Amino acid sequence: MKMNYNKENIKMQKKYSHHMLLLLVPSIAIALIIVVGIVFVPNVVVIQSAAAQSSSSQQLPQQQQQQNQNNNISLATSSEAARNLAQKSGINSTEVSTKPVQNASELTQKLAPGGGLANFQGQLNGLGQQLGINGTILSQLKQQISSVNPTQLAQQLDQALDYIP
Amino acid sequence: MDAMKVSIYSVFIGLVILIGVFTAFSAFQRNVNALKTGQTYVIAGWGGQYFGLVNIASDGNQTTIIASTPYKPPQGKVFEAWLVDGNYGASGYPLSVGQFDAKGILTYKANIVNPFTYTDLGITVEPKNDLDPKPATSDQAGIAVFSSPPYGK
Repeated sequence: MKMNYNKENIKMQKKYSHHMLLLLVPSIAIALIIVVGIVFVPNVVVIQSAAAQSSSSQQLPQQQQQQNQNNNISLATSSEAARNLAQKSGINSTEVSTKPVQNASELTQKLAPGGGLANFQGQLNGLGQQLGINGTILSQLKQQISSVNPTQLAQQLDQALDYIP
Repeated sequence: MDAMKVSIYSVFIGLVILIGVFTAFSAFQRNVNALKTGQTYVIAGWGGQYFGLVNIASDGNQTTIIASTPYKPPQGKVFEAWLVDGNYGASGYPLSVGQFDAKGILTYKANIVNPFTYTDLGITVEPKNDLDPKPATSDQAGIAVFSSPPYGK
């Protein structure tokens, strides 16, 4: 009886051993895939993100350089440059008299071509380009007003002065 | 006799009140005139044309700034004005004095400790409702150079 049982057991083992192999191989393969996935995928992601960072860090200095070129020109720097230019131009300030408002004679005289402030204004344009200040904003706005009328400027300011709270 | 004394006292008190009123009125008038007239400067534009005018009046503390420009800022932007302490060795500190309104007018009134330290008024182009408290240095539109007494001390 015992012998019969052993023989049957061996038969069963032989019969299903190749089935066991069929199960074992895919399960090992799946396990390997999972292990590979766990070990390598994060590394690849890290490498990729590192690569992305390095490429963006290569781009960043260019952007920063451009920004820095502009950001370096603080108001204090540009104002000092403008004051130096004013002194070189023979005017210490851009002060004017707008009286009488009707014709703003001094203002008109100073802003007319050849006038002290006209020369300063012309040179300031060049200085702005040297400093890298985006003065194009006014060039774009020039489409609104082709030329600034000194009398109108004086009148506008005079009207504003009447509204001092 | 008492009536005489009372009338003398009345005249005396009346005179004191009159002198006081006169002094106060003249001081007030002088202050108003000083604030009203001030000094006017051209705001020269960095883009090759004049930006506008600014009038700054101060008695050493009470300071009023009125500026005007015929230009309108680009869509979504505003013109902002800054007092700049840009003298040699100075702080370089820019004090925002506000933005120009839709009519191109800026009004600023404040009780400043030392307004005469400022040397210039700079104009920048800023985004509307800008959260950055610093001036947009790349978009400078114009500058008024004071550099004449009493400013720039």
